[in-house]
Amino acid sequence: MFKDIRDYPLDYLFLAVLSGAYLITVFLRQTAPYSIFLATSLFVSLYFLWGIIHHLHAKSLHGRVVLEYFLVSALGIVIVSTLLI
Amino acid sequence: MTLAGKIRHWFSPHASNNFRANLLHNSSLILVLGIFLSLNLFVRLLDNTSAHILGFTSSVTVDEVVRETNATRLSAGLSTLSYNEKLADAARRKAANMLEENYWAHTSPSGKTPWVWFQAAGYNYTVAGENLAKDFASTSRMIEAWMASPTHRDNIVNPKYQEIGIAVVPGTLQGSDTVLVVQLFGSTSGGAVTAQAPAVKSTPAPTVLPAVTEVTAPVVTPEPVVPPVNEIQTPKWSEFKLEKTLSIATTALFILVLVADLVMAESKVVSRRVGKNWAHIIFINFILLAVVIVTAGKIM
Repeated sequence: MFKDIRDYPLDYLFLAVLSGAYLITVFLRQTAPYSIFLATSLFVSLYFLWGIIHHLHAKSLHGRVVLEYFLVSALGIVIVSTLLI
Repeated sequence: MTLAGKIRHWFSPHASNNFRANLLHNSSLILVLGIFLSLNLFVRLLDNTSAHILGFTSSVTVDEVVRETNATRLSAGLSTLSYNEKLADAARRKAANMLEENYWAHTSPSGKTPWVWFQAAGYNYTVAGENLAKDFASTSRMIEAWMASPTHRDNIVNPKYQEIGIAVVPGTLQGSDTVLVVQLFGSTSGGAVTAQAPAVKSTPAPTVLPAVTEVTAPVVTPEPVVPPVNEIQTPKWSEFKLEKTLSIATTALFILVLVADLVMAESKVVSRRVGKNWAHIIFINFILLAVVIVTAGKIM
């Protein structure tokens, strides 16, 4: 179940640090919607890039996978943005 | 296909969906995005109808705030506070001024301190305090947030206070529909003596203990500021609450399906060219946490 994490620990460590930094930013700037929107945009973009780079490492990059990361990222930003706007 | 078959097709990896829960297919993700955006648009359109069906409101009521504040004081070994209509009038004046001058602070941009409203309502205090909150969906969460903040907690469990006044006022503040809660404390005498000493304040707190000489004769305005009772007292669904529920439900559903897909795909040892479920789970979990933070109320 944890095979992918065991195989690519650095990739997942980076993702965990990125996610933690995002959450800390949101927590510290919770009264500033524009800052949260910027932080979310950055987090989502980096997640999309992370997906591509990770699948390049795993030699499993495919157009369908890129589209999946794009859609999941889009869902993330839409969910947060609808609460801010 | 039977209902059980449809559920399996949408939520678990199986031969019928190419061993990937159909909800996680790209076509379904596009569909979910579309539905999510459409529902949000619908909620916003509903809010803009002339009947104003929605609009930001919460389940916070004056009675609940008084009851929960007193319950907190009782559990701290203090006496309960009695509801004072003059203090409530002062709270309503403060809330009305916040909406009128469009600020989220203890002192207005024009320099009006909280104590101005005590005097305007004709409440001659010897000790007074103010707590503010906005955007809270429930009274208990609001009280929890106040109790988690040392300065607000000092107000709630201050043994010198004898009376309380609350205003729960819906309105638009700094461009957002919200419900403002103004909680005022006061005492017109020396205050009850209890075994618990008031907490020492290390930072500027919203509580002041003014010298008696600072209390001037009250300036009484003939017309008290009374917000519409129905709007304050009736809990109803709000645009914000619907959007929050929609967001949390969508993220929670995805996390569940991703976990189920991950577990079942591992057990069936299938090789798939898809995104990494663990990565999606981490990402969506943090989005969910951000949603929880963004939708939490604010205190001052």
